Amino acid sequence: MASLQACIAVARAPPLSHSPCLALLARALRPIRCTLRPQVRFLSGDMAMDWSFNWTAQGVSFRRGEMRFRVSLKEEASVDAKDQRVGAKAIPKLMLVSDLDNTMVDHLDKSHTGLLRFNNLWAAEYAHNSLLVFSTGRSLEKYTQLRTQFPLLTPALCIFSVGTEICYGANMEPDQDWVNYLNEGWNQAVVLEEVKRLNLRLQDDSEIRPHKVSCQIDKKDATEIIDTLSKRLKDRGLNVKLIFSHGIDLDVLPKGAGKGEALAFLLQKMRREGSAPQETLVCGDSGNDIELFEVEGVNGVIVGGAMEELRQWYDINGKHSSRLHLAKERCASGIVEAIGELSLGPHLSPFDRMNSNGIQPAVKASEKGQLTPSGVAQREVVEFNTFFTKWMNGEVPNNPESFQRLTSVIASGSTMVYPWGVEQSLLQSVTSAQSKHGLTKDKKIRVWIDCIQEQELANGVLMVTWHSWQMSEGTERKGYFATAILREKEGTPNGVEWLRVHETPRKS
Amino acid sequence: MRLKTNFTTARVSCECIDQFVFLQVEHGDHDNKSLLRFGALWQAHFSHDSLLVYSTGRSPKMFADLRGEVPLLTPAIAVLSCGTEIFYGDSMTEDDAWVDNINKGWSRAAVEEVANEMNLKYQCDSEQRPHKVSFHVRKEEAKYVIPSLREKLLAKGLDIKLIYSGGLDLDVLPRSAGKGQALRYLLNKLKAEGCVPQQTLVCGDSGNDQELFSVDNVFGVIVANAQDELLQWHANQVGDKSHIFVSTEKCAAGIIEAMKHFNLQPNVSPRDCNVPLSVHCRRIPKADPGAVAREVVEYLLLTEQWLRGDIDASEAAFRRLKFSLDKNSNRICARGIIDNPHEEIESLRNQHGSQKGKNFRIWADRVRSIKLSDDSWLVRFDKWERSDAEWTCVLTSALLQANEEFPNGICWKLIHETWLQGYEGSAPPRM
Repeated sequence: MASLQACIAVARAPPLSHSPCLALLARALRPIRCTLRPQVRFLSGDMAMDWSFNWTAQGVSFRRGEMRFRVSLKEEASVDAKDQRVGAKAIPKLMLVSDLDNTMVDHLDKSHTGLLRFNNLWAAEYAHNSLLVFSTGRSLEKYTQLRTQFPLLTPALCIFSVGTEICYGANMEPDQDWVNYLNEGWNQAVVLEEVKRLNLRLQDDSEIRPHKVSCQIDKKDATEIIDTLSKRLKDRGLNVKLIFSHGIDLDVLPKGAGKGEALAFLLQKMRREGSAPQETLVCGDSGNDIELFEVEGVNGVIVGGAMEELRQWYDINGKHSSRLHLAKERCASGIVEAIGELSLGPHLSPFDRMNSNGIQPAVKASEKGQLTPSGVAQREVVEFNTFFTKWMNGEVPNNPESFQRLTSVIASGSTMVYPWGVEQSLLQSVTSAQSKHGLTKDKKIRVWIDCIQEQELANGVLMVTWHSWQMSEGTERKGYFATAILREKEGTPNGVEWLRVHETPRKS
Repeated sequence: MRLKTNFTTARVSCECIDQFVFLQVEHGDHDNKSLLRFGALWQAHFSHDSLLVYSTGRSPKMFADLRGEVPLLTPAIAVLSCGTEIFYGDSMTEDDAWVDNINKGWSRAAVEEVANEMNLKYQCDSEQRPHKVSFHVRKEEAKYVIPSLREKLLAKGLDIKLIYSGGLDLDVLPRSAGKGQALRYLLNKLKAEGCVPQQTLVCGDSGNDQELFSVDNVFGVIVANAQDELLQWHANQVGDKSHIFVSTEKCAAGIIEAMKHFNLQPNVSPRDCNVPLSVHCRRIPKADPGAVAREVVEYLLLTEQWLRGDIDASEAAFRRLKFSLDKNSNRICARGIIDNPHEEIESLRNQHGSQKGKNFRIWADRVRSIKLSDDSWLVRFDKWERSDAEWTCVLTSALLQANEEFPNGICWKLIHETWLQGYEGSAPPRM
């Protein structure tokens, strides 16, 4: 802490009011070790999930393949989930299932604007109660590669290789039930044989997976090849499906496989466990996404710039559906557009609300009257970071009143440990940034927040943890692990003020 | 600058000087054992409600140098340059009002003029400060140089004082400055804000400390390795001098001895007794900031003892280390990865005694906690580690929760570390 005053003042801060409710709860659950609070789950590794950490608390062990949600407390606390003080709900509000190439990822946008907008919206408004799922034709290897090139968030689970692999967690644990299911009527060796017989060009090794064989064929020969191959594999006793996309790729998969099937499988599983999402939004741009849109009960968005085959499908099958949206905007921006058009939730991110016209506040009507609504601290973290970055980039107007947005939410005496090893008064260091408006306007900094989680530590005191990433033109991205303590405070944009922030550079 | 304080009574305000440190190193205490003993006592029992003040003849630069050489705690207030400069807090913000106070009747230029006339030998540049002019004067010459200098300066209309210490150092200061004056000033300031310390303990070892002992209502300790001039001064004092204790121990150890003598509690350093390995069967621990500070100090101390092999490789000790960490705790390590310390600590088993003979020490500085609820705290501290030549430090935030099922009644739920700038380590840390 920077000064004697601060030191002593904070040490003597009035104690937060005692919560009899929580104390009772704690006593009732005494035999259960430390399950209630503070439970801090951290996300280690790149595909960061917390699966391995907390689930042994009540003797509930992690069962392979079983669905778990990051903020679900359902397994851990045998308390009424309606009690909002306990924390997040087990049922995700929205499950967003998105293709990657040319859907979430716009290969033509070097500045990644659309993707960063989406990330910003997700972290601020959805991370605490919704599930992000990537469903890609890419294999794990190519997916990992993509992650180094684009600012992708960490999904709750990943469906690879055109729906033939469902993986959870940091260790990419495959869903064993899915594997067993796909094994019926499938034999990879046989498929490879038949493909060779037809002299088809196989894709890279990384694209040949246990339940997927991929080759490249000429558009003009497509129909004929598909017919022949289907017949031959059928004759050999296999039950397969062939998918032709992007005008060149031919994937051979078990009949039961596919992005749509995988999604349907997941939804079914979640329903059985009582954790099916309230809404699902699928996002795609090409042929192998069609099945996603055909899964029962889902909403869908076809992003701007989508492939012809998908547009055609939409014209025939989807135009009339109120749950389907053909976006004007490209890629991730199209997803954001759809969230708004389909009324699936907030669609104005802090990024969108803060621009050269100033700052528009978030719409919070639905949260009025709730005790410690979950997600507000997360939104505060995203908003604060977004505004700060935009200030430095000169992307918001340089007026002192708007800068107050930052200083007004910092509790007196609060401190921050910066990743370069210096601890300072948070108020002082933020205030000193006021004169640095537009400092980085020529080499704008892009920031995104991943794996953001919020936890109530005590009555009115919240901890938020996240991974933050920074990049600017020509420099390697840098990652940081951050923790922050926030406290309820009336009269602030999100109802909370900052007490403490601590950041550490992530090992590169 | 207003000294804003929010508590009503600080328990003990303790003044220490640095000279003992210098001597300590000379006398072969390369390990700085007594400094560490005092440091542990202070962090564990006093940091949350008492003020540590250093009062030294050293200039800011020399003070900073010292802090890089020995395990010196961060003080709340640093009175430097023989009481002519007062700095507050971690950021060492200077007290300008004090400067105004001591400007009266002072002219540095005038002092220099006279000194140059007398051909006095100046100390090095870093020791020359705005309100302190310092010379080297040999013992034999002091007898006549000092009175002569005083006369000449008074003749110039200056209101000054001369302090001779260590048989060599002569400091010329404004009369309103000085260690004693600074202490009075600080005590008055605290009083004005309604927080007078219940006790004030001052410690000295040389000539420029005399004034400290004559401030009202203080306890004083003269350490065993004190300079003759101070001991002489003490011997010459008439009247009741029971408030001054002449210690038989040197340096920081002398301070601890004095605390025992004056019955200032607590006065047993965690380093002088066995770290308690369990509080089971004891009453439910009272959740208070003191308990949090003690936990931090004890935990680090036990880790140090384990690695040095100072304690047996007992299961009880290891359990104390492992099971104070919540099973599902998380740590963001300074080197940039996240792990579960409860699991990672298993690697500590084999490291028992691995630091034997390497001058290895771990200590905490600036242990401060914020109460989040009746039973949980956010605590921040600097974790220092030293072995042979290398010093590393980690700025740490931790979440602690009172829970009687844990060894010390407190469990660690979260640890977040960042290397302190300039003290980054290279080898993977142990805990």
